[in-house]
Amino acid sequence: MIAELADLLHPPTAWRRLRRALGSSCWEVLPLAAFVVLIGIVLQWSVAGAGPLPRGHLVRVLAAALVAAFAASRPPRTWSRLAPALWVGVLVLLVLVLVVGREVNGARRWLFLPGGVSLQPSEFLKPVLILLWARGFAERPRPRRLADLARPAAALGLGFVLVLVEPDLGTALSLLPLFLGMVWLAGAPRRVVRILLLAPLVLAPLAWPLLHGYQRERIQTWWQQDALTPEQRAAEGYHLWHAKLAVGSGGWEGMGWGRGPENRLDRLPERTNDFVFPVLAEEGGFRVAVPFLTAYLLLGLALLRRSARHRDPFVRLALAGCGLYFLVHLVVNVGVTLGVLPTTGLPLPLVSLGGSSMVAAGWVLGLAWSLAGVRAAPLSSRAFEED
Amino acid sequence: MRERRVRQVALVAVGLWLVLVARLFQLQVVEHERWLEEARRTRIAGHAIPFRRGRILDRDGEVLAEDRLVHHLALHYRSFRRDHPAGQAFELLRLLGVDAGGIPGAFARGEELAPLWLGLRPVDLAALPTRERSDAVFYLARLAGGSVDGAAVRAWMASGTTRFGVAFPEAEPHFREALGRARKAWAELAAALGTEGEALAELVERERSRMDALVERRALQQAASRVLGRPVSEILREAAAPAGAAGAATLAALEERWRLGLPAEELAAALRGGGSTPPRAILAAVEQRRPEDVRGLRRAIAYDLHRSRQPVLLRDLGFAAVDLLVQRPGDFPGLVVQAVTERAHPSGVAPHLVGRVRVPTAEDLARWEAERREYRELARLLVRTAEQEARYRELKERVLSEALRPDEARGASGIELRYESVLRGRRGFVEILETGDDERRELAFLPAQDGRDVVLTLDASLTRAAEEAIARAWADVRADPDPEWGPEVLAALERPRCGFALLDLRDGSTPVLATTPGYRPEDFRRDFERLVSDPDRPLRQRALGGNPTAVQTPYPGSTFKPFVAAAALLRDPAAWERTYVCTGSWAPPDAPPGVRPLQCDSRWGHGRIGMAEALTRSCNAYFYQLAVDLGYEPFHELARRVGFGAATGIEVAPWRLDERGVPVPRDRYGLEGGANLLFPPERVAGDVATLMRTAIGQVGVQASPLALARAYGWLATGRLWTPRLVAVGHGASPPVPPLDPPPLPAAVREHLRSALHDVVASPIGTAHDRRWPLEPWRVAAKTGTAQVGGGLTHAWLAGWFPDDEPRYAFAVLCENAGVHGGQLAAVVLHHFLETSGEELLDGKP
Repeated sequence: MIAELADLLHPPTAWRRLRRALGSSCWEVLPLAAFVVLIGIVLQWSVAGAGPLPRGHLVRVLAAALVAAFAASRPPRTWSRLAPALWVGVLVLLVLVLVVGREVNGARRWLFLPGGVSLQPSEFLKPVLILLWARGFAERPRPRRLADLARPAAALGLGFVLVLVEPDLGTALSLLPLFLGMVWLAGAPRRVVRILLLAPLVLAPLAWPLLHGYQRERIQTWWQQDALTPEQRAAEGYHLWHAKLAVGSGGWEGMGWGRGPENRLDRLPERTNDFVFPVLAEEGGFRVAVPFLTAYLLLGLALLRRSARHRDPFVRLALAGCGLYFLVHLVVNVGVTLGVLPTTGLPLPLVSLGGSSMVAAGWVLGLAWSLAGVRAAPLSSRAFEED
Repeated sequence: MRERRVRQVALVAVGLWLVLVARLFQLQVVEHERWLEEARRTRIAGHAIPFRRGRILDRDGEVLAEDRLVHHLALHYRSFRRDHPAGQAFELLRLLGVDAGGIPGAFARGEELAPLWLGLRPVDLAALPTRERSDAVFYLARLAGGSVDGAAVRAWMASGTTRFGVAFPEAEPHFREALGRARKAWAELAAALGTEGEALAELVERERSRMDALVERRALQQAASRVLGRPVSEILREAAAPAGAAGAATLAALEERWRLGLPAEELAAALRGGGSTPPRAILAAVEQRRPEDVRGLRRAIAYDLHRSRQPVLLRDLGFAAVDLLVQRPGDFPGLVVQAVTERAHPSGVAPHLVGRVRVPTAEDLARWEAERREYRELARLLVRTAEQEARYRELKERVLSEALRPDEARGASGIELRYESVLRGRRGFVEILETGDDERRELAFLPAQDGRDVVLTLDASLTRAAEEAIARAWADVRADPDPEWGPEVLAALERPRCGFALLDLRDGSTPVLATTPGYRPEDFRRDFERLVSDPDRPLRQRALGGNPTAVQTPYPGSTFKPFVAAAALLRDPAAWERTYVCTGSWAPPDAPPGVRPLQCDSRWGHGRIGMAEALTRSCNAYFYQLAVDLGYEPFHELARRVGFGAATGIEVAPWRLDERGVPVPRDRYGLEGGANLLFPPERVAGDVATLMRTAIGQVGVQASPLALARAYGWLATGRLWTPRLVAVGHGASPPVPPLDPPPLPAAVREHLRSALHDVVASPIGTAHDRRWPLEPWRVAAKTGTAQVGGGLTHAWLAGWFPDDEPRYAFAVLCENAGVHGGQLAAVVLHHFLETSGEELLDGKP
């Protein structure tokens, strides 16, 4: 007993054990995610008036943590096996949304469950597709031709269309880079990926007439964002203008927690969800915004890095998909608020107030933990053969 | 799948991240100033929403005081001189040095005067200074009307020698037409106002010349400021003390520069606004010697004043006039309708009781701000010393209860002050976000909450009847005078000074609390000087015995005798039968030398007289002897227990003048709190003369009519009612001292009733008068004549009616009338009962 204890406490042994334990999981994800979640809590607290704690948000964070713990406790093969069923389930929910969902702001995105809980199935579509694609690519040989992508593309297409008609253009479009990234990581030839990259550019003019009027207006506003008239700022350019106003007026130092005028006066639209980053930029300034962006980036990169060291193709792809999940959201969400991308609604996982987004992000983190914890010996980099 | 691909994806991610950070840097660091500037254009504008102050109603719902929206006619002289033909002509002629006879002259004789400007040649204008010339061009263009503009007039000036009327032939018909139209519109407005168009022009002229005088004074002040290089406020402060060193130096410096040859005091007075030398004359002298000192001043000051001031021409316009002005603003350039909330007193009764409201002055606000600062400082302390704690409590109550706003009227006296917390509503507010993008959004909204009404037990129509009865009674008595009355009595009877309190013996309500003379609360501020200096003291609340500058109630005189009698009867019922001899005066046989006999009303004496007759005839000698036999203690005890010397607790706050002569609230509660007076026994002990004089109510006891009515209510019923003025609208209850009236045996009550009934009914009664009988209402009463140091006596009548089934107790006080109670106060009651007796007694006298 004492010997065991001494062995446990023996520095070289303890260090080795720790490294082994850490090495077999994506441990670095935890502090990064915790940091991001903490920033999110502080932000939601400020948005809620900087008075009492934002209890709703804390409850959602707790729910996400429970979901993450559950997801982490299941082995990867369970998720692999469940992927098709989950996909069907989410599709059913998406259809259900269109049928029984209540219309909010001109879109049917939420299922209102008893007990005041609302569910946004499209948020769960992303992790489900990641699992499904990972399983699909892992079970089959490397895609060589465009036709080899038919099945994953179909899986994407069904969900994409259902989300698009809600309408939720932001979520739908965010599926595309996710798909592209997965196809690339699945080893599709450059030629195929090039086609996939060019296809949207070719299709864009065709899709233009299909867009809603307000969507077209937003894109036009975004294109000429530096020459907005006061009328445009008050109408179609409102979101973009106020997001940039919040960010720009924050400056290097920021206005101080709970003291940003755009936040406090409720002038930032959707500042709990899609436009939560400008609150951070306004109140924390550049010196807080950049560390936050860095932490978020590192979170995605850590998952990507982990994925490269697994032999199991499903684990590898799914883990990379989890990393892509965070990176895509980061780029699209923050890009929109900074006027780099046209205005579209996409929450920032782990930070936004939305419960579905929070729980889905928790699930993704849990999945990542489960996948990274596979007992297979990590490979050396030489185990990857060159194409 | 290979690690390289993962690395490539990571590289793309990092690249995109760099784009984001670069963009963030651009917005937050590079363009920060620009965005901050944008953010600063956002303002939050707060607007208060006024509340309606609660009304004060009488017991039948008649409005005694209410907030009313009134419309005033105001002058905006800038619009008038620019857009009204009379204003244009007047100002142009003034520039040319022609006196048109003011605005009325230009208005009435515009056509006659027109040749003066129609005949102008460019050379006539060339003589004017530049600015005045451009003003003249402006007015000429306006007068010519139509398509003529400044450029056309300037072209005419440059062209040569043509007369204005020739160069612009359309000018004359246009002016005639415009003036005719303006006259017609003014006649319409004047008709709606019940006056004449010329009278309106006179009003405009009055305000214009006032502003003119102000322009001259300010121009003089600013010229001084320009010369000395110091702010006007500083110079004015020094001019206030021309004899002081600084003042003398300043005035000497001005004199040295301007060489006016004026005494320093004159110049100081002209600067401050006063003195016999008008600033205009001084400025003219300065203009001759040092034109640069005053150049441009008048014009700039006038420009500012004309734009910013809107003096009121006529107050409280009727609907027709407001309608006309609002519907056709184009016909009345320069005339503005101002909507103002005023406290109105439609019934006009009991102004002293209802009280006034006032808008805080700048000094009030400054004082309140200072107190609030001090309060906050003290509130921040965790541990306070005893003095700090006391000060903190005092300030807390005042600061929190006052919360002054510059545009919010507060109760300043009477019910308005006492029930301030009930009457005052809560002001609402709206907060509006305003941005440079014309975005206006409501951030917060709190609706205003109107004040609650206060309902009095007062009956406005009865009080009005009482006020009228007082006036008629005084007039009647003066018209039919007693031959013995001297000229000073007749003079005193010219103007009624009366207090009349009526107490309902069923519930303690006070349907009548009448005071004459009254005043109009609306005009209080305007008439303040007159009101405080008027020898009749119209601010004195006589029904409650109050006095605006010193709380003092009168002696009750003989109306106090029944209480001495009651004290004797309570001690020994056989006292009713006891008789004394009245020889016209009396002194105790064992009186120490130096105590002179005190007089009775009857010079020859009443002879042997019993209590009943002594009360009926008001025999002083009887009560001297009764009091000496009885001693002071018993009737002091009784008087104290029926409320003499104690406040009636009527819920009205009084006010006083502060050191600057501004009326301010005195305290929160009872008006005559310290006014009703009763000597304590030790004051009278061993002093027989004081004892005797107290027994006839000429010293040692003072009472307001209401306090006396309360005590008579006890005589009538054996029950003591606390007068109740407020029926609905409860705030904190005023401190009423606990009174413990002794039981009044039926036999004693009956004795007193019969005696006091005889005062009115018996031919020997002091209140018996065939001309103005009180018997029909079965009044039981006692007259009184109270001596006043250095003045004519007060006349009293106090009692109740009907005598055998008492419903009301009353007291009438006629101040400084110089006649007996029965000669005047009884007439007041008669006249009152004549009009209102039936109503009071439900139709059965």
